[in-house]
Amino acid sequence: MSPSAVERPLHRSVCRPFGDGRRKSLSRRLADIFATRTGIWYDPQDLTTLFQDAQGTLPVYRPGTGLVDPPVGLMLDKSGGGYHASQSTTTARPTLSGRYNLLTATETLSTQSVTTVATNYTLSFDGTGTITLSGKATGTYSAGTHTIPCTAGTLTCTVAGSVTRADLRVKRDGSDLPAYQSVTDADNYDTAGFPLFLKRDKVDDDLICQVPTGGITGAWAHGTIDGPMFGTVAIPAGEYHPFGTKLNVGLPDCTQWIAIDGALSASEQAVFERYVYSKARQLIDVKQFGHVRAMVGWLRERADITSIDLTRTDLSNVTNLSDFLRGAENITELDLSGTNLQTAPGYLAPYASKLETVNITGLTFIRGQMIQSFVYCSNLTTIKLDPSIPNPSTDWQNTFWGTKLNQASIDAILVTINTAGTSNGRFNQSGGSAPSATGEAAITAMRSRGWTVTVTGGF
Amino acid sequence: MNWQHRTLIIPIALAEPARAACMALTGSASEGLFTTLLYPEGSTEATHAISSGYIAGEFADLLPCGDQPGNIEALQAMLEGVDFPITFDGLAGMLAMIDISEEDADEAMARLGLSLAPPQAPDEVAA
Repeated sequence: MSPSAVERPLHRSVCRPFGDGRRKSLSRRLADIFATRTGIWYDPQDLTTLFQDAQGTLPVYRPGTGLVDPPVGLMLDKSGGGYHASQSTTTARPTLSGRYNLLTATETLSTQSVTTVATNYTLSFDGTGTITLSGKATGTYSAGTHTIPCTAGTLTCTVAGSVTRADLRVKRDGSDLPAYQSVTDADNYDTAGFPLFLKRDKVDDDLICQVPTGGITGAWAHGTIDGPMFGTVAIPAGEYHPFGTKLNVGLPDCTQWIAIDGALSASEQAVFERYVYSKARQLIDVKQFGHVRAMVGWLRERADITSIDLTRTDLSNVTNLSDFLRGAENITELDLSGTNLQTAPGYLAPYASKLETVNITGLTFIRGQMIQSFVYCSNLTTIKLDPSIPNPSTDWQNTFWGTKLNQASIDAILVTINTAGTSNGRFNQSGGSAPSATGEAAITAMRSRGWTVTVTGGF
Repeated sequence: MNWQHRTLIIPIALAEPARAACMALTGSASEGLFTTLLYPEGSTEATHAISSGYIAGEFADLLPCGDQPGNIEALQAMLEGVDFPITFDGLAGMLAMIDISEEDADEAMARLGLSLAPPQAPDEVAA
């Protein structure tokens, strides 16, 4: 499918005609928004804005064209404000990549091994031969398209007969990338139709910019190859790290990064969001991140982020949300209502000190524990949930330690635990309100089944 | 530019002098070297520092790396040329203490039993 065919449906509903009947692109409309506002706009897919060195003397080259994926030492701000991000230390520069297919010599495949993460992959190929998988997945496959569940480690693809146009990549249902990416080797691969992205090594890679006096407070988006993250930010003036200051965690890559000062109208927000989706060739009507299993530390210690919208994020395969919002000290609300997880969100948001309200109405998970999810969220007052829905977690150690839950919330939590009928669990709470008679009745029932329960007020 | 990927892991005590030597040669391109700390398994005390990513080929070719012995004489001459005096033995001793490889950072850290984040300290709350 051609790129234009993919982008057309996304664009159609938001394009507006010029006076002469021509339509403005999403990019142009976003530029119009920036014309009257301060902001920052980084576009890793616009090669004219990227340089290998911090001084801007060495333009980047397109990845896959025979050299190593280029380092990015300077990324120009497209907002017009001049808030360019740079990195002087060569080893600390992110790289620009467009590689999606893990295989090499893909036109006529031979036996090889690749490194996988724990998720589903798509394997597709032509030819009369077969591929037999061993290691982190097993099975023998003929030509066609196959979903391959993998664990993390080494996957060996043993080829028998003629296998051509082979492609193995992370399965992303919400994207519309070309079905095949030709890869000769790590330095030679086709990027046509494949969004470029910045890759950080999560060791020391970082880009830094200077934010103007007054800072930037408003809409924020960080696009990745797995989906976009939307929210709001309050960025103070001065040195700023767009990917966070904690270099060994954070969002995995970057297809687009935008912050816009001031409140956006509904139509402006729509343009903003559709632009970010379209740049990564992601379908706006499909929840993104669907294959992702671990979001460990993605927004850890991001004091700049003031809200996050997870309503269009598919968390259904997530097994690990540890430290997702740890120390994200300016987030006040978190909505996980209706979210289905593989594993309970233990360690989700420790020390998110301004978090006041968490909505877990309808949150379900298959296994795991709630341990330390909100420890020392010292302003956490309200947990919204449906107490009639049982919560199967039996380890609530420190989950609400150092919080200030109101009575309705502590009651509802205790009732939802008791409703599950589980035994021999542990629960403690400090700060906030003591449970009412409703909560105390739940505690009595839980203790009769071997639970250890400590709550404010000492019941 | 000829970029070559290297992962360099260095004992903390050598981080500052090694950074100074690199800055003498490359200026600000080395100013953030060895600022990321590494911890041995089970320890909360950092013992090493790491830098991982591209370095210019002209320098990568002179550094030891795996089976490649490097060219310490040439490096010493370059340092003397930028008024950064160091003896051959001093430079060789420093380089012998640095683990330099083409591996990804994760592989090199695993090989040496080091990790980026210290083990999760238990949150200090009463039971």
